[in-house]
Amino acid sequence: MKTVRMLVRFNTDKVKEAVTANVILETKVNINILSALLNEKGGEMLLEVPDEKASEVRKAFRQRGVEVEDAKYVEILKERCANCGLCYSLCPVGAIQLNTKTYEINLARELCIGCWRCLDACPLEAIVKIR
Amino acid sequence: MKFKTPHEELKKIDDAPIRSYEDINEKIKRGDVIVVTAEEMTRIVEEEGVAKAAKEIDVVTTGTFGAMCSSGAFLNFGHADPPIKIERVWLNDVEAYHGGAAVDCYIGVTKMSQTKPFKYGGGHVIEDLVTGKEVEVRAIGYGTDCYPRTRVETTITIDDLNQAILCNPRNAYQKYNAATNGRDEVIYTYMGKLLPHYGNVTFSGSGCLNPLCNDPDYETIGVGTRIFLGGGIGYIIGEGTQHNPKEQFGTLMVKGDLKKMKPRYLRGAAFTKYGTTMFVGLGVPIPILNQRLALKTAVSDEEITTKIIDYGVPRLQRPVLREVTYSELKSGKVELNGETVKASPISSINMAREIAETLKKWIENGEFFLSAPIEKLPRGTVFKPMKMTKEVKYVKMLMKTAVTCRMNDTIESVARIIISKNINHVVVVDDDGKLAGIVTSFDITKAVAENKKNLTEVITKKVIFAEPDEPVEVAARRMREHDISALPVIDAQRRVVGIITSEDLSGLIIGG
Repeated sequence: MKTVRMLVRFNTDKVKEAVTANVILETKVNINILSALLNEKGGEMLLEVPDEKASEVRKAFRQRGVEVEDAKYVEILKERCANCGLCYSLCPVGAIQLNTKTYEINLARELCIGCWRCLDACPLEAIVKIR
Repeated sequence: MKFKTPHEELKKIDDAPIRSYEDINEKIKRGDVIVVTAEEMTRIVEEEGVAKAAKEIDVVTTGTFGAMCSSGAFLNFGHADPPIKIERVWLNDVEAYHGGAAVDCYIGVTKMSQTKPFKYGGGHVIEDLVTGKEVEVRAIGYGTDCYPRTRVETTITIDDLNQAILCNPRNAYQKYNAATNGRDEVIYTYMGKLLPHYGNVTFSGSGCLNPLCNDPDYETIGVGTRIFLGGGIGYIIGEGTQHNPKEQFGTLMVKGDLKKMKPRYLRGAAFTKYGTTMFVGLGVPIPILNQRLALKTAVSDEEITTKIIDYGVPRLQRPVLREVTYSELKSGKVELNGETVKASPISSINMAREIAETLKKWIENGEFFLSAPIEKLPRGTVFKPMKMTKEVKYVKMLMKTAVTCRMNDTIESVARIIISKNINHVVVVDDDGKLAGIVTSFDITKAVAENKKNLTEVITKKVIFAEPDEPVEVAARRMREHDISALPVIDAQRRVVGIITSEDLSGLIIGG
């Protein structure tokens, strides 16, 4: 089954409501939550939904005042990266790999779920968002 | 063979001098000096033994490449016409320290740009200078008879400066604590981004490649030792600040000509919510003057230990979770509370290795000669905490009795409490007096406006709280971060023991 990934953003008000539960109940779509970084101030969730249901889910979230964006992935700019490795331990899916022989950082892009945990951790601004 | 107990090994080995600095430099001149990196030395001694390694190898090179906040550069601009005695000066909007003569300054790497704070700082200015980029200089002065000018705005490159001298008060920590975070939120530290619930570990230092780890008694390291610094040649000018040899936390103060350095080895860096700094590349050559030094430079990552510390505790004395070897840390995974947690280096081991290799090539090619220190680093100094003449205030000294209610109380009854006690926050407790929620006067107003009937509909159940033994500054920072005006104070059993409000804190500031 072809799936698409989307990022939903909750502000401080919306995070208090059971938005995701209501969207699931309304659309009856099996939404897979890949990552959720939320607290009482708001946050974001990365969702995976079947391709044919994507527009319906997007609409259901937007109707409830929640921002929806197509998920983006990251890229590591080799010319800026010093292979320090700081990003490696933040990756929840093992997409950022540290070679413990050469101590080089490698990004397995096919594994990246676009959670962006690594994005604000790079001291050299070597990690960037891409579509 | 492995040297798990170096002191036992040290007793057995021959202490006689094998070669002098002059012998080594003579061999460098002739082109037949034998140089290996510290990683290679570990393997060679393991395979061939100390005696043979000491006989064959002249120099062991080390390297480290990490964020070193105590770094900066002295710059001299030359005089303007008409001349100015600079009072304050900015380079690309980063203020440099100016307390010296008319056109000297010191740019420190953690000073942040006034227009791009947390993104660009003194470290980036230094990197830009070394790259050859143009840098905007803005300076003001108060004007004197001899220096009449009061303002200067100009653009310079490193070539326009008379001197650009990298001078770092504290570099190349012998080793450093590893960091983790026991809080239930992400924290951003100088040790990088730390995930909640001990979700990751970060560590600094290159272990067996680290300069001071290869000469832990500072037999060959001291004032005047020539080193690799930022891709150029530098010198150790003494022990670094916070030098703490007894705990094997020695540090170096170093200087070198910035004009001859390379941007690859001096990288401006920005740690989110912490600030700016600079990655500094540094390597020290260790001459193998005797067998003892051969054994010391054979140190392995298994033998170098540090502690994993909970940076989630915002105090000077943070809890130690466990001891760990650099071997385990450098494997990228550590055991923590029975789980395997990923461990990130902050300093690049890849670059540390490159630096040790580069220094090795310089020596082999006759471009770098060793120098004997004219005074060795001190071994007996201690690193003291700050003397505090004013008492630190703790939450328990400032908290008041919390006004509480129960989950099944009515909105009306809570409204009456708020009016009669003239307060804004009522803490919700369960039957055991444990924290169950918080309700504010705003929540009650909103409940009335929206015609809500049950208290449970309006209370906040996930409550941000404080503990009695926390310093008030920590509690104040938490209030500011979460944009709230009160914190219930709870004990270890989550029982509510008081409340601290922003009014209590402002009273502290104005001395009320």
